[in-house]
Amino acid sequence: MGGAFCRWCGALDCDRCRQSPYEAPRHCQRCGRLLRVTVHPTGWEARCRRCRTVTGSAEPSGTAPLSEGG
Amino acid sequence: MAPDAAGTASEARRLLRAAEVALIDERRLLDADELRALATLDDEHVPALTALAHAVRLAWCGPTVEVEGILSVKTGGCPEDCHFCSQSAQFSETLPATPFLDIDEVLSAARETARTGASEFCMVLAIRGPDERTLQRLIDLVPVIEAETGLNVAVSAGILSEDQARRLADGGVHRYNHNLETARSFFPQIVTTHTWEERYETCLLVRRCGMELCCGALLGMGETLEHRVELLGQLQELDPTEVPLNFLNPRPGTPLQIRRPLGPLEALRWIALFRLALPGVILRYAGGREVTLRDFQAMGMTAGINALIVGNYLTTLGRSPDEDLRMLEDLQMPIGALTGVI
Repeated sequence: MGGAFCRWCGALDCDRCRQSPYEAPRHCQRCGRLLRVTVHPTGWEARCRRCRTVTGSAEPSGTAPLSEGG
Repeated sequence: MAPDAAGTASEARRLLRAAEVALIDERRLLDADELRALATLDDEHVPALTALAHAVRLAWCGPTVEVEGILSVKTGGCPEDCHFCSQSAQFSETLPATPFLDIDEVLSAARETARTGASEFCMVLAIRGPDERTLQRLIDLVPVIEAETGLNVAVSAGILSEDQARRLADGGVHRYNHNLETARSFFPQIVTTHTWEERYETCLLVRRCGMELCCGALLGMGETLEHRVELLGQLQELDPTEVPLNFLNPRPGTPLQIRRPLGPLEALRWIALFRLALPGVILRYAGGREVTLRDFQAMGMTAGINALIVGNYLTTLGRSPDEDLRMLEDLQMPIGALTGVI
């Protein structure tokens, strides 16, 4: 079983990127593909069209925990 | 104290005093030479510069702060090549295009904005200019958002024709955003797919058609002090109601990704200079303030800023609206709608 893809640069098992509280994720952690991200005033939603997953935060800061659904 | 340092301090006091007399007693605008002299003050004089800018803001605009929320209603896939922007389709690995959000998503974002105490909500589109379908969707959305939330509705949809500007104005758009971003002489190094003059012409159209003009700047793209002074003169000439002040937050995949954000002291200096150049304008904190100013964000509010975007930006995240509202409460700055000084 492989590791996770980096949410920010999309690399597998990346140890270079530091999470910023001011960035929404750009890449799917499951497949590394670029996400379609919708940022709204107090949260964000990211969709992976390959994995059909939706991640998001109702909080304005990216440090908030992620919820994930199918 | 060394004679040179005393001379510098004395000259700084003289320049600051002359600016105070011009702006508060005589109520006249500073010219390029005066702004250039203030821009070259040593860093140790930045607190005095910001104190003057705050006094000018209070004298011209009062203590009220205007709060706004923004939403990217059409993200990515933009044909333009603005070198700072992650939404251009011309660069590698920029944001995937997403279609125009549906009405429920836009209304939900407007309601979120209204709950923060904001008075303004701006719909932003990553496009060169609106086609007929896009324009009509915007015109259809404006009265719905107003009725649902009571917010003033602003739009940012690129370059307009006169007919488009008139239809948006007639449709109830309160304020139209179209940034110059940078000085005319530096613009070709940042954008090649349209000209600074095309932007300027749209700004003139917005005013001519009766909408308030929101025309902002982006600092930190490699422009010089002279470019910034030039831009201030061009903004004085344009006389917008609002100037959103952005600081470059370098985006991966864009030509400006390797630039470093401005330092907080330099950002504060230029906030103050924007206020001193544009004393009656609504000067809004916009994108990049969190990564640029970090712990200095409250200081910007006492350096000339009198408006802010709360919550998230178009594609990046901001700090919590609660933090900003607490900051305003602590500063005893009331929240309300503003309009330009006539």
